[in-house]
Parts: sequence; structure tokens; C-alpha cells
Amino acid sequence: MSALRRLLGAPGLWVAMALAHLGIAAALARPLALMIGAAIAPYSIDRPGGLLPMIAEVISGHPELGVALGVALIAGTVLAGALWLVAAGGVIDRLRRPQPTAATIAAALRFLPSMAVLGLYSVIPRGLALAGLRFDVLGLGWARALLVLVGWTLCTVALDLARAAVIRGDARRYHPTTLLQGFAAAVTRPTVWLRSALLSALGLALSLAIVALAARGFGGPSTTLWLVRLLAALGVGVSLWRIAVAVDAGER
Amino acid sequence: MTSRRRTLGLALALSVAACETPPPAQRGDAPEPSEALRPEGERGEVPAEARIADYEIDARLDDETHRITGTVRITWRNRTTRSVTTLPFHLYMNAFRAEDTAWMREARGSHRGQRQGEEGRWGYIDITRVTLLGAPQASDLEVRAGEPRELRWAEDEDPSTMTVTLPGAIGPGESAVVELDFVTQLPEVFARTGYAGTFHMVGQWYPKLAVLDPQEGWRNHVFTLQSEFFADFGDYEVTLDVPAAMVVGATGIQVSDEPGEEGRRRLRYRAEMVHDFAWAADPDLLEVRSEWHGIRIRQLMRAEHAADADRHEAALVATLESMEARFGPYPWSTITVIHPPSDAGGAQGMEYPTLFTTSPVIQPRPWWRLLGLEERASGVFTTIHEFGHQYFQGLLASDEFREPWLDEGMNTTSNALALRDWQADDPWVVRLGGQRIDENDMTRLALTFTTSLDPVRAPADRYLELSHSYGGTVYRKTGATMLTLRNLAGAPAFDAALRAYADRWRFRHPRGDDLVAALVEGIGAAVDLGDAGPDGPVRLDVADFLDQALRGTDEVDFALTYVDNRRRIGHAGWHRDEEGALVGGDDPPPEATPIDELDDAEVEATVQVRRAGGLRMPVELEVEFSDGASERIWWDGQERYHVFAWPGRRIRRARLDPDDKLILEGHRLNNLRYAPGEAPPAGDGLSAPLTDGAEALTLALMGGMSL
Ligand SMILES: [Zn+2]
Repeated sequence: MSALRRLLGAPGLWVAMALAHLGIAAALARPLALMIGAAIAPYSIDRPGGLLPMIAEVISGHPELGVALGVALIAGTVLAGALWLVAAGGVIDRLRRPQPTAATIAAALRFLPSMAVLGLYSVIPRGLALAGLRFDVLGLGWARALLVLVGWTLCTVALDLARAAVIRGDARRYHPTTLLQGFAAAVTRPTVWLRSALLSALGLALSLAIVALAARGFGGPSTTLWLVRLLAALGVGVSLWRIAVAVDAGER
Repeated sequence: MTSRRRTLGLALALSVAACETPPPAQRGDAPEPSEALRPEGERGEVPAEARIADYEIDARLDDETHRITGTVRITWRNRTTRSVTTLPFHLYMNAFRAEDTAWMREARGSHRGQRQGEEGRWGYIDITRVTLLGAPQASDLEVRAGEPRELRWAEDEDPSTMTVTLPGAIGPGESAVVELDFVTQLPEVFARTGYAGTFHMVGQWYPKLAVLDPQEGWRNHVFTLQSEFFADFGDYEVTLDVPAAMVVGATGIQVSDEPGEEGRRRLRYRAEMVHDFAWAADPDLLEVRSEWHGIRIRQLMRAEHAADADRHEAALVATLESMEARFGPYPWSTITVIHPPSDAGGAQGMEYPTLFTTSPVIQPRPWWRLLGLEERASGVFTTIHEFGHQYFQGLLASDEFREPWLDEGMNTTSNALALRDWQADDPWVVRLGGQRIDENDMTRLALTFTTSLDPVRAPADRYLELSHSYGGTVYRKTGATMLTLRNLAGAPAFDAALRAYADRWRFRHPRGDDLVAALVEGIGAAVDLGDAGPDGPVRLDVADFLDQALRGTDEVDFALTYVDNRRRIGHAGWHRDEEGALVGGDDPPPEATPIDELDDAEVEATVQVRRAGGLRMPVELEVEFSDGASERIWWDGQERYHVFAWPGRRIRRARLDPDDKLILEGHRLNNLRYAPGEAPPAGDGLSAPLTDGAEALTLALMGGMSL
């Protein structure tokens, strides 16, 4: 079974994860909408040519709106991280084989401590990869960014492989060597690493596309918003696909 | 510092990738003109009496010590009715001599974000000899008599000025020739002038005679942080002795290039009817030459900026076209654009006669294109602005110490007009996707910050660095005032008035009162704006408006404080009939009757406009009624608020300043208001798009979290 088949064989998983993402983002935007509305009331704006000057005026008069926006962005990021962590055990188990929803949830809960510990271990190599951004010896501009991306995707595929091994029962749940074995597996199977890295890059591209779409607009405002949501749902699918690559590699 | 190094690295990498072979040292072959002024038929008349101070300078640059040794011979004509016994001079470079000069005390070692260098921290000018060579027509025999004489001189309390004592008086109509020897040490550049590596930007570098005012006597301002310069017109003959490898750009035309001592060259320049002379020298400068209507355009830049030469040239030519059409012919035959290298940021964006320094166009990053981000705010706008100074200061040579708004503010006004002339379809400054920001938006943003602390009409040393009010007030508020007046008076009247001012004061020293008088005269004392209903027409009092906007610190801000439908007052209750008897006694409709349920005839549309800002001026109001009709009316804006009512009509919404004329109004959020119950079609217009944007950004960030 290929990784893509594993993903397409679990449409419910994809839909559930995508809805969770969209729900979090929409919920976090609500208080912001209320705050902006309160800041503007009882006035309105209709200005051909764009809203940037009005946004600047409303934020300079209400700096708390900038803070609220920052909070929404940070909360969204943290909640998404938490969601993937909490779901990791269930996601991997479901991508391994078809099962009832209850079994997926049970796997998620059962493996949560292990997934969290492995995730914590992976903070160290990820930190090293990011620190590479500051090392002049790695070369200039693009070359350096590419090197960091390579290091980052290696960390990602290693963690995916390590987690999949734990769920399969092939590795110790809490021992640091589990993650090291993940790195070893990634380095010895470069095609797995490459496929995972390409999917990571695709996910990044989708995120950039979302930002570009929001900035440029497409059709009316509501068309833009629904396209953004569609891209985000696709992004969730790409993340699941990437995890499925690691799952698939372990099953063979 | 790291980010700058990274940018530089990227720029280097890109330039290496872009062209394997080094770019040619010169592109274009427009010849150097033989005359410093354009032919009279093109440039117009130059008034002979405007020529007051001629300078002959012979100067030698030591590029190791960054020191200039020179002699300047000044022929000065006393065209006033006063006699003088002293000659005051500016020694601008001494502003950088010590931390307790007037300039440095305020600057605290930085200028527009650039820090004072640690290597070449100090700059100074030292006068070593002053000689009176002659005063041939002097009636005072003490001055006229004899051989060249050494004169006494002394720096004033602040070393940025000095006074030379004459042996006698120079009377009206007389002239004197003095010669000064000087040594100028350039600082590492952080405020307009100085060096960075091999690059030398040489401005404010020689002793400059003060201006003798017919009424007030000598005007010799101390050089302070926000002050620029002030001098009389005259002809310059300048010989520069520089290392042979140097590429030099200077005010005026180059008339000769001869070998000097070993390894050196002597370059001669001539400039006519200018009030300053500046030059730049660097061995690594490339040259781009072109020509527009007989004006030689010469750009000098290092390879790092060569790719942007065409963008700068397009902006320069567009501004030149706009300004010639608006303010009369450009009189000189040359314009030289210096692009300071990236380690000489302090030299960027400064004007001198027939020469200015610009700033680089910010190189678009790949992600800019992704977002649809474009800008004309960096290098392109610097070129527009600095060229604009060829008129507002170069030609209309106002006193930049006493009235900095007359050059910076009026130049900012002309920049907005030039950008519109150039990009008529869409004069944006920054564009992001479907969003755009234009000059008016930039001005309004600036107005909401620190423009109500100091008035526009104030001397430069009033704007303290800690108030951050100089830029917003002198540049932006002046521009906003002028553009608002233009919108209210109509472009033809305003433009004609400004043209008359420019024509009258070319090669002279106009003052603020001269500009205000020209505007009042050209536009008229009052502008009829339109009907205010029963109160008659509303007029803008031009002088009063300019007085408030330029001398005061009050802001323009109008707010819609009430927009609603009320029950129209009818005839309920008891009234006397013709015989004097009380009749009627009808009840009004019940208090609780919703307005919706009343007939239109029983309703009265009501709007209250409040003048939230202190500045009194008229504003236009547009009301849209529920039946789709709309109506406009002016309010004179003299009281703090006004109530408008339309009996028998139902209002949907009201809008202040519907044609966006009041550029002086920074706060625009309170200008559109719907009546309660008349929900706007797209909500308040801002919460939804902002919230959508926030949701999209959140989703984009969440997409990276499947760790
Ligand atoms: Zn300027």
C-alpha cells in the first residue's frame, strides 16, 4: 500500500483534522472581529483602493487590536501544535490500518505520553537546525536557507519514523534511542526522507499560497476566504500524507 | 549590523550572478555642456542684481586623511542700502567638531538614524588666513586704500559661524574681494557630508558668506540639527585637485581635466547663479549619462546600484517635466545624481545646486512578488524629492534655518503633484495585492502622529529631536495644508498662484509671508464653496485658513456624532385660532411608535456634525436618503457643532468630506455613519476583511505545525 493510498483510505481522519484546523482558526478570529467592530462603531468604512490606511488608523488608535491579532496568531500556532501532538498516536494507527473511530481515539490517548516525550527530544535537533540560520560558515542567503530546510526536514522525518516505530511496537516508547533510530532510518533510506521532505516543502508552499491569496484577494472577499480554507484543508492532507510516508516505510 | 551584512552579501551574490563581466565604466555619451546655464530662450531671464557672491575655490583632497586644503576668493557685492563693517561666515563643518556644538548637543551623535562614526568621529574647518584683496569702489578710504591686507577673524560662540572684521565700511553698491585659506577635515559620513572608505561626499566644506538682508542686516544662523543652509546666488569657479583614479561628480559643468602632480588630476568646474557647491569623489563610481532638452543628466554609482539607474532616470525626467510645467524652466544645463554606496547611508538624500544624492531602490525580495508588493517609496521617491529641491531651495532660495517649511514643505507638495503628473492613472506609493497607499495616505498617517506639537511656521531650532515633530510637521503638514487648499480652491487657481510665486521669486529669497500673499492674491481672499441652505453660501477665508494651519497646532477633524431619523414635530396639542380660542388638543402618535411605522412625511432626517479638531474650516456633508436620493451641503465649521435636519425625509447614511478634499484631516474613521437600523451592506467595512485576513494568517501558521 502506498502512502497516498493510506491517506485516501482514511477520509474521515482527513476531514476531522481539517475541520479541527478550520474551527480553531475561525474561533480565534471571532473575538478579534468583535474588538474591531467595537473600535469602529458607530462608524463604517467604504473606501475604494484599499483599507491599509484605515487599518493603520484604527490600529494606531487602538493598539490593543495589534496585541489581539498577535494573540490570535500565537494561539492558533500553539493549538495546532497541540492538536497534532494529541492526535499523533491515533493518526499513525489509523494510517497503519482501517479501524473504528473509537480505536483511533484510544490509540491517540494511549500513546500521547510517548508521542509527547519523543516530540520533546526532537526539539534539540530542530533547535540546532534553526541555529544554522545564524552560522555565517554555512554560506550566504539561499544556500544557508536550503541547508536549514534540509536539516529541518530530516528532523521531521526522523520523528515521524520514530513515532511510527513506537505505534508498531518496534521501539521503546520513552527512550531517546528511539528518536536516534528514527534518524538512522531516515539517513539509511534517503528516498523516504526525500518524499517526506518534498511533502514538507509542499506544505510550506501551501502556507505561502494562503498568505499570498489573502494579500492579493481572488474574486470577492468570501470567495477568497473559502479558497483559503480549501488550501488549509489541502495542507492538512499533505501533512497526513507525509506522516503516511513514514508509516508506510515501517510496514514494509 | 548583521542584517546589513546579509543584505550586502545577497546583493553581491546577485550582482555576481547577474553579470560575469564588470559593467562598463560609462554608459551613454551625452556631452558636457559648454555653458553652465541653458540658453536664455530656454531658461528665461536671470536678474543681474541676484548675483551677489562669486566664489573661486582651489582645493586639494588628501584621500588618506580625508582632508581638504584650499583657498577661496569671494567677490561680494553689497546690493543693500546698508553699510557693513564685518563679514560673517558659516563654518558648517564645525558642527561636527565637538560634542558640545549647537548641532551635536541636539543630535547626540546621530542624524536620521545614522550614528556618528567611531573612526573619523570629528569633522571641522579651520581658517588659517583671511585677506582683504580689495574693495575698488569703496568710499571708505580705510577699506579701499592700499595693498592686500590680513584681516582679523574670530569664531563666534558656536564654532559653526565666525566674524571677520573689516578695517572700515563697505557701503551700498560697493563690493569687496576677500580670500580665505582653510583646512577641512571630513568626518566619517553620518550627516550629509564626509567619507566612507574611498567614497567622499563633500558638502558644507568651505567658508560661506552670510546673507545681508536689506532690512535686518546680516543673517548668519548657527547650524543646528534640523537646519539646512542659506546663501546668496553667485558664480563658482572651482578647481579640485584629486588623486588621478578618482571619479568626480560636482555642481555645475566640468570645464577642464588636466594632469596635476604625480598621480593626481586637476579638475575645473563652473557653476553660474547657484548658492552652494558640492562634490563627490570615489575611484569605483560608474557613470550613466543622458540628456533631456539640453540638460545633461549624469548619474554616478557603484556597481551595486547600477541596475537601478534607469528607474532613477525615469523618475528624475518625470519630475523635471512636471516642475518645468508647474514652476517655470530649469535654468541650469546640468543635473548630477550621486548614489552613495551602501556604507555611506548618511550621505543619502540630500540636495545641492545642480547635484543631489539619492538612495537605493529597495531590492524586491521574491516574497514581495508573492504578496504583490511594489513600492515607489524608497529610491524613486528620494530622486523625486531631491530633484524637487532644485526649485524649492535651489531656485527659490528661502532661509532654511528661519523657515524650513518653505523648502521642505513646499517641495513635499510639489512631489505629490509630480507623482500625479507622472502616474496619472494611479499614483500609488506602495501597493500590496489589491491594496494601495498613495501620497495622501502617507501624509494622513504622518498627521495622526506628532504634528500638533509645533507649528509649521517656526525656525528650524524649535523642532527638538525628542519631540519627533520636525518631519511630520515641516514636510507633511505643509504638504497637507497646500493640497487641501488646492482641493478647495480648485487646481487651476491654486496652480496659477503657485506659478506666480515661483516666477516672482526665482533667484531670490522668498519668505513665508511672500508665499501666503501670493496664494491669497492668486486664489482670492475667499473661495466660494457652495450652498449651505438658508444660511447662504459657505466661504473659505484663505488667509485665515493658512494662518491656522501654518501658525497653529490645531488639527482638522470632523465627526458625525448623530445620524438618525426622528419624529417630525407636528401640530399635536392646543393652539389658538384666529379668534384667540384654544382649539385642537390632539395627541401625538404614541411615544413608543417605531420610526419605521411613521409615514415619511412624519419623519425628519437629522445629522449632527461635530468639529472634533481645533482648526476651524468648512467641510462638506453628503446625506443619502432611504429613497436613494442624496444631497450635499457645506458647513462653515466655525462653531464646535452643527445640526442639520431634513423634515419629511428619511436618512440612510451620512458622509463627511465625500470627495476626500481635506488632506489635513488625519482621522478619517469617523466620517461615514449609517442611521441605526440601516445596516451597511458589508458590515462596518473593516472588521470582516481584517478578520478574514487574521484567519488566513492563522491557517497559514497552523499549516506548519504538524511536527
Ligand atoms: Zn528635502
